[in-house]
Amino acid sequence: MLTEAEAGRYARQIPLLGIEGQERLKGSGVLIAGAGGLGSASSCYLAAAGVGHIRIVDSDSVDLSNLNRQILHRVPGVRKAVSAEEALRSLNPMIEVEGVDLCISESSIDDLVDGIDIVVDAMDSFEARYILNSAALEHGLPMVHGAVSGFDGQVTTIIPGRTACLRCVFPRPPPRDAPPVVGATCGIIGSIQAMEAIKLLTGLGEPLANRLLIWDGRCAQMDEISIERNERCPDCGL
Amino acid sequence: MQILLRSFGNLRRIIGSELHLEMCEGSLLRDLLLSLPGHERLLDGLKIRDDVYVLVNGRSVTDINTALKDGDEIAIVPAIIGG
Repeated sequence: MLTEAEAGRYARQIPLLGIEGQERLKGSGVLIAGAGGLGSASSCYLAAAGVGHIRIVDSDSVDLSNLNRQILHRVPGVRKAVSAEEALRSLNPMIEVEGVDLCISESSIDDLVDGIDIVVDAMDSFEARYILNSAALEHGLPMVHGAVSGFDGQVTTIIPGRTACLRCVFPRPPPRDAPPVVGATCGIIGSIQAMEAIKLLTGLGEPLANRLLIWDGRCAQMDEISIERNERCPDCGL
Repeated sequence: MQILLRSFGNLRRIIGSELHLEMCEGSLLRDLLLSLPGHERLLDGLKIRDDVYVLVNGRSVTDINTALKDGDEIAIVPAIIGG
């Protein structure tokens, strides 16, 4: 049930989501895995939209070089989980925000997805993404994958049992890298991830299921590739 | 046989965004990849580089000896890693 203050705060989106959709957001929990560039953009829009419980996880401290894109943070040296929690609480005091200062690993992931409805992949390595992918599949949770590099980015929505999983499409991890990134690229891709999560939580629209969306910021061009499950995938294979 | 090739990100500035290719019957994926400009950006010896993904009709493929058939759609996607 929405309060009067909540109905007022979300008045410009309730005509789109309906009262029921807004209440679904309020009753939902989203895990934002990573409080970097993608986590900054996606978490801000999910918090502002009224997702009732946001758990944002990161085990790093803010570095000066993060500030071109990681708009949750202001002060180098502060733990990202702390500044993310503060920023999101300030953005929307009507929701619960939990900043978790923890490394995502096979031993920590089950606790991190407890009580969660959707996982937003905002990680910066495929090794960590595979851990998220496996956990999301095991717990039956949709996961919105996003990644960025330079002016480019990609997004797909993984629905267990229905779509290709991350490992189907990217079966081996690429070499680790810390690519240069224009901050706005994170804004574009993180915002699409937030949109996907809102659609899944409210049941509205068509998710990016079995579609890999690819953004080329140099040409301002959005393309998509149809993707399919691999029945021999080690993570989701039949 | 006709193959549609699409490439993305920085690779499309090397390969081209969309190519309609005529290949001989019995061609393998490696024949196609080796025929492309900048193929050294795609292959590490006779394997697909770790920072490149190749999808044939939406399926990720790692074996360059995969046989192609008429009408196949191939997507070449550079690894995008950052968050």
